[in-house]
Amino acid sequence: MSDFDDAFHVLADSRWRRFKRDVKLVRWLLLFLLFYTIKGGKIRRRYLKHKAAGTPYYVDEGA
Amino acid sequence: MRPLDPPPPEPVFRYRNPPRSGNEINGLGETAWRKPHKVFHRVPYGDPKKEPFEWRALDLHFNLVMGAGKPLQGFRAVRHVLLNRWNLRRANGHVAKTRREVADPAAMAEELRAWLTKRYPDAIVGFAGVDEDASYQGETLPGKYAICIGMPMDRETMVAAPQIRATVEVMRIYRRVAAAAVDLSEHIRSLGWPAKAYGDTKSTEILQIPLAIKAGLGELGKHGSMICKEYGSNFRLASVITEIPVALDAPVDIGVDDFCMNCRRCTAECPPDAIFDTKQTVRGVDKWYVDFDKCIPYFAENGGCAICLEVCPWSEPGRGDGMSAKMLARRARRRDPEPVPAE
Repeated sequence: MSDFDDAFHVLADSRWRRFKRDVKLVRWLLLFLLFYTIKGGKIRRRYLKHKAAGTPYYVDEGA
Repeated sequence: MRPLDPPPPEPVFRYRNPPRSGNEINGLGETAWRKPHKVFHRVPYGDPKKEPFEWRALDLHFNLVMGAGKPLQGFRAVRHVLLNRWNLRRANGHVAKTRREVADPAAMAEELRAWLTKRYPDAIVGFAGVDEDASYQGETLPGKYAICIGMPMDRETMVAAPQIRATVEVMRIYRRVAAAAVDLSEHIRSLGWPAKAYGDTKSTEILQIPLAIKAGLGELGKHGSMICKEYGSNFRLASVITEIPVALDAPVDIGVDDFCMNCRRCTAECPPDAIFDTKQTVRGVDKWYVDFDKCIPYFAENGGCAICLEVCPWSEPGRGDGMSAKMLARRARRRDPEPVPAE
C-alpha cells in the first residue's frame, strides 16, 4: 500500500472516519496550493529570467 | 498536423551534477527480464527518504513550472490535478457485505462495460489479467483483474501541444478518466467485491500502458505510448484493479507495428530527437522506446509535451479503422501473394 492509501483510503464503513479523512485531505491540498504559489512562483520567475537571458537553469542547486 | 511553434529543443533546465541515466534505470540494453524501477515522477505523499528517485529535482520543477508566464492557465492545470487527487480519496473503500456471485464472467464483463459506457459514452474499456508487468519493483497490485479505461482528449486543443492549454486539457482528461475509474470501483465494491481505482496523473502506482495493451485497447507505438483504433494516441488511461471475476480480452493486432516500422513522423517532429527509429532491448524485451535523458528535460520544462502523440497519423480523427484495415490487408498480401495467372 502506498502512503496515499494509508492516509486517505477509508476501508471501514464509518462516516466519522471519512469526515476526518476529508478534512485532512483538504488541508493537504491547500498546503500544496500554497507551495505552488510561493515556491512555484519563485521557480517560475527564476526560470523565465534564465530563459530570457538564454542561460541554463540548474534544477539541482538553489531550488 | 505539425506542431505549432514548439519551444527550442535545447532545454533551459539542466543538472549541474547529472543523475544516473534514466535509460540505465529503465534497463535499456538489459537482456534479462525484470520489473521496472520508478525513475522520474515522485510518489505524492511519499517519504523523501524512502524514495531514491535520482531525477526528483526535475520532477519538482515539472510540478511547479507549469504556467510560467501564463499563471491563469497554470492554475487551471493545477486545479485539475488537485481535484483529481480529491476524487481519488474514493479510489478504495468499504466493500458491501452482501456479495453478488458471478456465474458467468463474460456476462459480468459485458455488464461492467455497459455500466461504464452508459455514463461515459466516449470511454473505451478492456479487461486484462494482472501480472508482474503491471507494477513496479517491490510493489504488488491488490487484485487479479484489471479493467482498463481510455478516454479521448479534445483534438483541437491538443494540436497546440506542448503549449500550456494542451497541458490543461491533459490534466482535465486525466481527471475525467480517473473519475470514471473511481465510479466503476465504487460500483464493484457495492456488488461486494474489492476494487481499487488507479488514475493518478503521474501513474506512480501502476503501469497503465502494458495493462491496456494486454486488455486489447491498442498496441505500443514508436513514440512509446499506446495507439488505439478509436483515438490514435490522443487519449489517457486509468484502471480499476479488482477481484470480481470477468472474462479477459485478448491483445489486439491492428497493424500499428507494421505502420511504425516505416513511419517517421514522431521521430522527425520530436524537438529533442528522443524517439528511436528502431526497437530497443529493454529489460529483456524488444520494443519501441523513447530516450529518457533527451525526452524528460524537455517534457519537464514545458509542463508536459505530447507532440509525438498529436503528430501521429493514427491520432487524426476517424482514420484508425481505415489505416488498420489497410495495414492488415498489406501484411496478408505479403504473406500470401496472389498467384500470377498462367499465360
